[in-house]
Amino acid sequence: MSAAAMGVTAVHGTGVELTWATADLRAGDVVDVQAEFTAFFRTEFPRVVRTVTLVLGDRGRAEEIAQDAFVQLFDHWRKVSRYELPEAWVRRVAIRMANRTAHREHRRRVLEDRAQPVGTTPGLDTVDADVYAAVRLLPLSQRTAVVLFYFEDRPVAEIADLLGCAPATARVHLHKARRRLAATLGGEVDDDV
Amino acid sequence: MTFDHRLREGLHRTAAASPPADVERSLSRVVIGRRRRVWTRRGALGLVAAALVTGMAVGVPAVVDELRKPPESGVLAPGVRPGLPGVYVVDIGDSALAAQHAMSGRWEIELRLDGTALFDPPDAFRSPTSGISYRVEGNEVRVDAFNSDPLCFVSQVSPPVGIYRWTRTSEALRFVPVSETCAARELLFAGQTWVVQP
Repeated sequence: MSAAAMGVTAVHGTGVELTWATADLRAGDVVDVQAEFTAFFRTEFPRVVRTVTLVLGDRGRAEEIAQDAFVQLFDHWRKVSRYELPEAWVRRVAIRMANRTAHREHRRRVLEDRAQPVGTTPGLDTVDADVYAAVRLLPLSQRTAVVLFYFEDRPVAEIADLLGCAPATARVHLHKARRRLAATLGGEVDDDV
Repeated sequence: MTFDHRLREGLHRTAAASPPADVERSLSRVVIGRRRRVWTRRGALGLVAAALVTGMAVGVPAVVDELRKPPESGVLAPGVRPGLPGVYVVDIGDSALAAQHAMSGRWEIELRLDGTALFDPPDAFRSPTSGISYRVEGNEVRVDAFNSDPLCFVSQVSPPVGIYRWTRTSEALRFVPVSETCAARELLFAGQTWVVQP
């Protein structure tokens, strides 16, 4: 009988027993896989939180979304960990959740007719207030493209993949965003991306 | 500083200015959240399995009972077209009553949809068999066969009608007398099973 089937658990520094609910792993595999996920989590979680925070402008909500995305990742870790870019998978999930949250928030604000003032970012101290305020003015898809391009340094093809659109569409989002930002911030857009 | 550089720097500094995420606490929440998902999924599966088992435990015996149970009066067995209409064969054996009225032998009876009945009696039977009708009332049927015949004639003012409770399966039709004053008619209807003809 496999270790997982016998209910083998491993205790990590979190103080929480990590139970792998698969029946076909040996005890060593369970611990290895959990350690692998934990290491990945410690590296990627803060990055995903920062990216989602920049997209949403809400640190608390971003952390919740990132946690939910990692819960899904944990659920599919055995499969996703074999992907070439597991971090892209969890980002895609997080960005999708962030988009849904943003749309929901927008509808709620419209219904309540008390839109949040632009530039207010709960839990986010903005040192470059003008830059971030300009980014926050962008439509959601353009804002996400800008964050992924300038903050995460991702190429257009990856941005398209994360946004779930064609590369040409991602390029258009970026192009429009840069023109708007240039108009707001007073910069000069020279080359296209 | 170029425009792109300014954007990049601005976003990085903004992100860096926010407090670092509490990774260990978040990891705990992720693990707990995942465990909750697993248990929710298992609970849902368990509920579905329990519902299936309960359904089978309750449903299968009920279905078996229903299949084993003889059809109730007036209730058709599965696969039988509703009502009494059809063609039947009745074999009346030799008995004193049958001999008295020359009823012994094979009777072929057609109960028609319009409420009339065609009787094809044995050759020896001499009483009239035309103008016979029947009427179904729930699980009972009223028949006026042989009313005008001395076989059953009692009174012209109030001609007797036989009332029977009927039961039909795919193979047979049975009558149980409820109200009957005519012995010969009772012999024909309730004396033996009517065999359904295809």
